[in-house]
Amino acid sequence: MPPDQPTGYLIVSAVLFTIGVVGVLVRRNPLIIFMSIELMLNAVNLSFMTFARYLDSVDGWIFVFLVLTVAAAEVVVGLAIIVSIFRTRRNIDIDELDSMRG
Amino acid sequence: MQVFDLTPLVLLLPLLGFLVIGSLRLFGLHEHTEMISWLGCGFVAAAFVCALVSFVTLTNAITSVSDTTLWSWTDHTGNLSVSIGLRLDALSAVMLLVVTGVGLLIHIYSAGYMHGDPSYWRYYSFLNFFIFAMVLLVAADNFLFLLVGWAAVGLASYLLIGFWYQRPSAVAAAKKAFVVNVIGDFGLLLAIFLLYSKFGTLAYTGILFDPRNPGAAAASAFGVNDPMLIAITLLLFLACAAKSAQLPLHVWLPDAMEGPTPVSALIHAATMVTAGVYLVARTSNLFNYAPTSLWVVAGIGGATALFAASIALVQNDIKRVLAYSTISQLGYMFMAEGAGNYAAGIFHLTTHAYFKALLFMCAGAVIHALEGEQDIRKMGGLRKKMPWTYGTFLVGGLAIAGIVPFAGFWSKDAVLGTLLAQGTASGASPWYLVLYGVGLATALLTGFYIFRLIFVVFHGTYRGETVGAETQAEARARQRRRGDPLARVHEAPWIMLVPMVGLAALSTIGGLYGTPWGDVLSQFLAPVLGINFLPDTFVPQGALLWISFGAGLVAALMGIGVAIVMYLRRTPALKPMRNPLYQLLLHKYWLDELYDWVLVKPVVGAGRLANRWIEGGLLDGGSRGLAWLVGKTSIGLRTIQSGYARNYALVLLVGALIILLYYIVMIRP
Amino acid sequence: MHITATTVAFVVLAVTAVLSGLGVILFRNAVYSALSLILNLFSLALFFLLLNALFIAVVQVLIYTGAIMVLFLFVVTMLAPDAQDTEQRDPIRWQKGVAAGLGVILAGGLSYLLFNTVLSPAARASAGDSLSKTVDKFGSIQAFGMGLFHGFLFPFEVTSVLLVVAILGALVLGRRASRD
Repeated sequence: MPPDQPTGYLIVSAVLFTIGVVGVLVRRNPLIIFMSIELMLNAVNLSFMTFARYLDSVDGWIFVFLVLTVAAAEVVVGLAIIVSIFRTRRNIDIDELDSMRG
Repeated sequence: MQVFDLTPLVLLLPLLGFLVIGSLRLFGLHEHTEMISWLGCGFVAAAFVCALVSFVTLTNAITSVSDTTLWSWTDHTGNLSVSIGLRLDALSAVMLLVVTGVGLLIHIYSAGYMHGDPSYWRYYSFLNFFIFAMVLLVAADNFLFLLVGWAAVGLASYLLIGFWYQRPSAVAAAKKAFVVNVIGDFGLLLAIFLLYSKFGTLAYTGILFDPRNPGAAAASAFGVNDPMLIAITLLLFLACAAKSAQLPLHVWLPDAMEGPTPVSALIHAATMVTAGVYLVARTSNLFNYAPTSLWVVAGIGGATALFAASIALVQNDIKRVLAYSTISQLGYMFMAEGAGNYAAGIFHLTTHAYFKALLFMCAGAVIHALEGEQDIRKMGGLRKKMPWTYGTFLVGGLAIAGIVPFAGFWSKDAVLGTLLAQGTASGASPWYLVLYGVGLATALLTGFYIFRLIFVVFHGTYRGETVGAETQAEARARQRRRGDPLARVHEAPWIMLVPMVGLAALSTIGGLYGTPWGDVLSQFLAPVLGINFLPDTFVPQGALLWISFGAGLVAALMGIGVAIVMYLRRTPALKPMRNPLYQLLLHKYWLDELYDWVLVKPVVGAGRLANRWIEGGLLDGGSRGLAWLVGKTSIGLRTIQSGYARNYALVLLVGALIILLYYIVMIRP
Repeated sequence: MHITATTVAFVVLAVTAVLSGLGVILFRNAVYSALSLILNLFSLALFFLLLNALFIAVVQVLIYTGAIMVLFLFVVTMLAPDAQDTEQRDPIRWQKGVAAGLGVILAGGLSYLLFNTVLSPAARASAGDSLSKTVDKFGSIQAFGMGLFHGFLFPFEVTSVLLVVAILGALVLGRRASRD
């Protein structure tokens, strides 16, 4: 049987979340940034599942399901955007999109 | 017969004239010069008639005082209540006659002199305004109203000196007159404050006359030479010195000659400048209890008389000579008042009004005939072309020099006689005799400078350019053709001559109401001038009387004699001399330059500094600095918008962390 | 605390998840990152199993790993299959350090909260119908279905609209710019 406290799971969730955040800030390849965002979403999913188990409620499962769906939609649209922006370039670097400077 | 107090009419008629003529511009009627002349002269003529009627009815009841209250005002605390009104008594009646009478003559004269001037309507409306203001000053029955009139005549003077405002010199002169006058206004204002604090009221009846005991002076309650009283009287005299152009505040009067000549005649000879003399006479009940102040008055009067006469000796502008002459004669009036004889001061005021206005009118006729020339070195030989002007000028000259039986002789002798009588009375101060000597010396100088003027302008040969010629070449051509540069010069028109002749007549017989044997004027004024005023004390007794007559006459004749020697020839001695005394006098003792250095330049410099530092640095720089600051801040803040999405994400994270930390720290679960 | 199989499984999975997560952000090659992410998602699915959520675990594998990551790989290999992450000058070099520091703070803050809050049994009791009982009775799919269609019907329907919008958006964005 799983231990009484959900601490372990939540710590893993926090760590994964942080890794995702750092990834967004540090990497310049937009695809990897996107993947980091997915990582963050999954960390949160883990957190929800943990609480569903330990609060004994199905609401957590529902949330995860909805997050999953939205993440799928988001990936679709996001990748479409990335493709349309970077289709013609040789290298892809998010820092090149700096026309909002100033 | 009851006293007909028409003073309110005398006040309001010129005001009406000012408003009516002034409003003609609005209706586009300002070009009808004939109508304007009739209106302008008409209002003043009506005022004169009213003044005359009031005066005549007053002569039957000399001691009566008629007070017409126009308006009562109390402040909300009930502490200060002033009732504004007009007072008709002997003194104000005399002054009203002089102001409206001479004023009327000058209005008539102006119709000729100012003919053709484009601002004719403005001239007459201002002139009427001046008469109104002067009447206000003279007829007020309390000090507050007096102050209003005092300031109003200053305003009128400013408006009229700067009448030809397109001329920068005229504008500068008007400003100078106003600024110097304001110094006097300041003194008057302070005096009013002190008067109120000492007497609790501002009305003449409370301050000058004891309300419980008419005829007695209210100031007697404070004893002789009370320090506050001295302060008050000296401040009042400060106002008089500014308005009546005494040392050292005389500097505005010669510059005021920039105005039209009739203005100079009216304001700066006959009426406005005499306001100071009037004020001292009016407040005789205060001055009598502050003998120290009276000495100041007499001293400054004497010094001014001699000082101004000395400058008049060498001036080359016909109006400047007359201006300095006015200053000098005003000094005479103050000398008499300082010796206690206020009636003599008023007497000389009236006669001076006649002959000085006359002299200015004649000068105006000359200037008019020569189309603007005022330098006497360019005149000469005008006697034949302008006989009437010459004749009346001669009468005026004899009057001012003090030759018997002209008016000036009697009034000047009243002044000198007072000084002699006071000086030889038992236990008297010898300073009176010093002042007497000053008066005699001034009489000598007066005779000299006025006849210098007459001879240089009217005798000899004409030294100027051809009158009416546009260019030098035309002048020479005319001279070759006709040989007479004065061909176009003509006598003044009758409308100018009639007032001149009238004033000449007054200058001849106008002294007869003040002779020592029948001093009607002193008796008339005595009730107003205070209970201590005994006219007989001012007349030298016995042989001294004839000595005083003789000395004055001799001094004047000596002056005239020197003038004859120097100037009554075909080519009078007009070359400028190098010697330092001459230069000193010519440059008016360099007083204007001194004032400029000591007073004007520092103030203007301070103003410029203030402009640079306060206006430029503080205010301008403040607002510009604020703008600069905002600009710099916004440039600094702009760096946040780096354009990199990752940066924005970082900011998001920072925000989230702040909330997290806040939660941890503040809201401990 | 005694070591059970569950604990061991948990530890192994935790390590895998963290390491693969690090792999996502540290690999230069985008394909390696994607593969690392797949591994991470798998381990999360196994976590879900450990948490007694059979249905969700399978859904995670199917949708996330199966559909979404395939899409990712597709785009990665299309755009920059073997490109090293561009070694051009990083215009904001300092961000690396700052991000690392802030990450530490974030992790620390979250952990602090975790260690200082104790899940109270009371919360547990008030959370509605007991999930574990339902799962025991009906099975996890039924449990999930009952929760979804009883309490969360509206969000479910909205989600379907969302998916349609996403499809349309992808279609529009993916078109080549037409020359008019």
